Amino acid sequence: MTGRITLPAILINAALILFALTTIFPMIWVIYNSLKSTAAFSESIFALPSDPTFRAYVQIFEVGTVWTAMWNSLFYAVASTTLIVLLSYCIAYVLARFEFPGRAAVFSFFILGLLLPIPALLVPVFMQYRTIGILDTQFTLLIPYTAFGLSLAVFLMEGYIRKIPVELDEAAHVDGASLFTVMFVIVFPICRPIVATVALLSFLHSWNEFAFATTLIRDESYKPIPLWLRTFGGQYATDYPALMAGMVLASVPIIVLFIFFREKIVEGFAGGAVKA
Amino acid sequence: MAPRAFQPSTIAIWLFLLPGIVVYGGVVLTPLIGGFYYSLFETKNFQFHWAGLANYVRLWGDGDFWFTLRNNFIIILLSVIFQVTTAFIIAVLMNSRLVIAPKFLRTAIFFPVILSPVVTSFVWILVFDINSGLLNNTLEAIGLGGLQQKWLDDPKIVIYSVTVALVWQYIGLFLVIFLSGLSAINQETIEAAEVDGASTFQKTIYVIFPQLASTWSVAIVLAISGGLKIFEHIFVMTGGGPGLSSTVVAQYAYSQSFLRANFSYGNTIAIAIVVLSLTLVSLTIWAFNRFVVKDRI
Amino acid sequence: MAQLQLSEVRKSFGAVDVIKGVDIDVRDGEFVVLVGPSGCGKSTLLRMIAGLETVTSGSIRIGEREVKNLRAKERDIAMVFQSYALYPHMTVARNMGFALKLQGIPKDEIAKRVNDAAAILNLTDYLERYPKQLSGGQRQRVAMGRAIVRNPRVFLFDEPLSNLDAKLRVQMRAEIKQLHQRLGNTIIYVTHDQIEAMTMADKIVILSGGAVEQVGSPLELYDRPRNTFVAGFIGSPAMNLLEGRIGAGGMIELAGGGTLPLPVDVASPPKGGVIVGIRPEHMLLGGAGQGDLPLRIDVLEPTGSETHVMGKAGSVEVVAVVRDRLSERPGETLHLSVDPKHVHLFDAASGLRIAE
Repeated sequence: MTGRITLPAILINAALILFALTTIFPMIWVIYNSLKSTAAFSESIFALPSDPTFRAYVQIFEVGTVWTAMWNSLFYAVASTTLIVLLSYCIAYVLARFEFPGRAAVFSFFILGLLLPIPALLVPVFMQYRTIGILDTQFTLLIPYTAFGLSLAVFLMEGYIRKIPVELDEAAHVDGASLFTVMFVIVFPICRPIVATVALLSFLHSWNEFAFATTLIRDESYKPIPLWLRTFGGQYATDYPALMAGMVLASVPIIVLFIFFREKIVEGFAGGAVKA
Repeated sequence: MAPRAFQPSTIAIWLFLLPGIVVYGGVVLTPLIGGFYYSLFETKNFQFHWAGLANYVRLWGDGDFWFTLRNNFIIILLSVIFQVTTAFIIAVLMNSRLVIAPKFLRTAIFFPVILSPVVTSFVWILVFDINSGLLNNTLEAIGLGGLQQKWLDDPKIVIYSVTVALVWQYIGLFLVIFLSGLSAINQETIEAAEVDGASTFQKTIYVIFPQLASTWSVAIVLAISGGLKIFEHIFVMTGGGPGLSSTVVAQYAYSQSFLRANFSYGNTIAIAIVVLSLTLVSLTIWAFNRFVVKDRI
Repeated sequence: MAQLQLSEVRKSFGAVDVIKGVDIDVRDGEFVVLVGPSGCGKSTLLRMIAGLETVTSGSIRIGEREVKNLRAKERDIAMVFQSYALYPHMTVARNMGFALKLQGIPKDEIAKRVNDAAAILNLTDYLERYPKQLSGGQRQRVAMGRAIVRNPRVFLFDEPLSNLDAKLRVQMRAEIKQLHQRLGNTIIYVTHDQIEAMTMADKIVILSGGAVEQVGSPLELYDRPRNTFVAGFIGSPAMNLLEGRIGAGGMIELAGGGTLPLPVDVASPPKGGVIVGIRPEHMLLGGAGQGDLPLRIDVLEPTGSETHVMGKAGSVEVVAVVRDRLSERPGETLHLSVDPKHVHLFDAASGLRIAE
């Protein structure tokens, strides 16, 4: 069957490629239109920019709010990713290696997070935060971003550690290692592939997250990039190239990560869904 | 696994678990408990008064709630038909050696999954834009101008328009799930069927489909729980409008709380969504195990 | 002085006893092999010595020290694991030096000891490689190197050759034995392969069902198995065990037909009858020995140097190994006999050897 060129094969390939193009074309369309002047855009929305201009980007950077938002998003994403990796590794190691009362319950507790309709928690979380008085701070979003990343991270890491032969831990203990050394000098480096996957997924989720940001943050100085884009999109609703430039800016880190680590990212999404 | 000689004390074990449990429990568990607590009160001018189950009685008779829930089910149904099924078909085709560039297809189709919902929502605002939108302009360019619609402003079609956006963004997720399910199948069983004289269609129905039963269950569960998670896209694209026409339950809870300042009722809706979602997911898993997977594993 | 002493060592998981009171004394420098079928508890016992499994009761002494409640790292032992358990993210040199590094030994001292061990094991050219760049035999040597550099009081080996192919296994068997002769360390070695046990050990401990069946040198076990279990376990092909009873005229009458000579004078024949054990290689053709065991041939396997005969005496499966080349065909009957000094006699009821 390999290499046989038949009419159905040609049709199927053509249809699939057409479909794949519709999935990437809109973003490409956004990117090249962000380089047009408003006039050029209204002339034709399809044409490639004949006279590319960075006017829209210059305008966004001059206003300046995007810098704060970018910095905030970077902070939320990096900090929550670090916390997720550390906390989930400790939990996953203990769950994978030791037998103790409550083990199954702890595991289910974290897996539950994969099934919960997260937006339903917006109002209850808001109420709790208001009661405690931790709305609108630099660290407000860090807690939910870390928490919601933990479920998937624990699930992926636990499965991975389980496949590492326990003899390695034992050899290290015989070699004189403490539990801490076994966990962080022996097993953690072996977990590097899954740590990379978890870190990438956590970064993407935290960078992209919008619902909790819009619910818990009012203060301009703590708004992450999706929140900035929403506000900006509202203000520049008619300046299409500027809006598109904003969309590009909000997506650049994500797209760069995807280009370099697409295999790991795809693997993480596929692995995370199975069993959930 | 038997307790090993180097297992630390139970206290030490819990110390490793504690930070994660506190962070996670503080966002998942205590808000649910608090949310249920508040749902038993009535909010008047930011004051809470004990109300028992009155909010739940109100919810039962609240036509708007059922209408928004119906919107969720429209999305779920269309996802299962167009997203899950299409993803399955594409995955099977990609697995069949018929397709010339499977890596490119997978990467391209998966690409939107990683974009921020806010970004993709704006993409679709631009696609659906009445005058400058990609869709209406394309229709005009290919001579189908008569099919132009006010995609996001017509209450009759808006829910289908936003569903298109959701299907578009997340079909790649279902594709990679099916692909990873397919890669776990012993390829020799498919080749054996080929040798036995099965056509592509027969291989799919008799050999591949049954072996993917648990992957289907994952996909359906994901479509259901995903359909009840919808919030950000609609929030950004339409704000739930026009009127209530594209509002989903999560947004209904949100607007009850933050626009009507009725936090008790918002919490009531939130608790209802959680209960509903977990019930539906458990039922689906149960049904799959009972009727589909049972005899085959 | 005993370098390693186990007394009354027990382990239970709830109501299940997996190690049922084991006593073993190991002298300094001795190569001791724990051998038995799978599930006999040999690996568990080794892991208890290592400190990887808890001990329910009894005592484990290494040198003068009671180590039962010490952690693995405090016991001054080194272990070679079945899967080698090499740290995949460390080079060979770092794998071998890891334990020394944890002890806080200076870098140049570590380097010296790693280099010395590498020289002994022919690993000098591989020190900067990672485990996945090595062959199975090389990985096995790294695992041993990791143990050697520490110069521990006791080396523990847990089925270290079972992941190698047959040819390499024979080669590594000799290397480990040479290494032992050279270094003179005490070694406890677990295997399920009785040939490994026979070829390598100074002393073999045969375990079954969590209890010691017999302790002795390889030839003691071969010549004087204490019971039918040991008799059947040691030797390949396995010893033929035939039911019979002591009849008139100092001969044993076999239940399946035929007679065999008595090896000893039995004062009071056991009431439940006896079990006669004859190793296949001790079977003699025709009347070369005493007695007469008619064997209906099922299969003949000529190996060149000898011929394996598989057949039935009555309804019992019997194997014989003879030096001659046979012209008989399957279905024909072969008459076998045996030298009385090669007949083993066991009490059928208890399975114990009937003493000479």
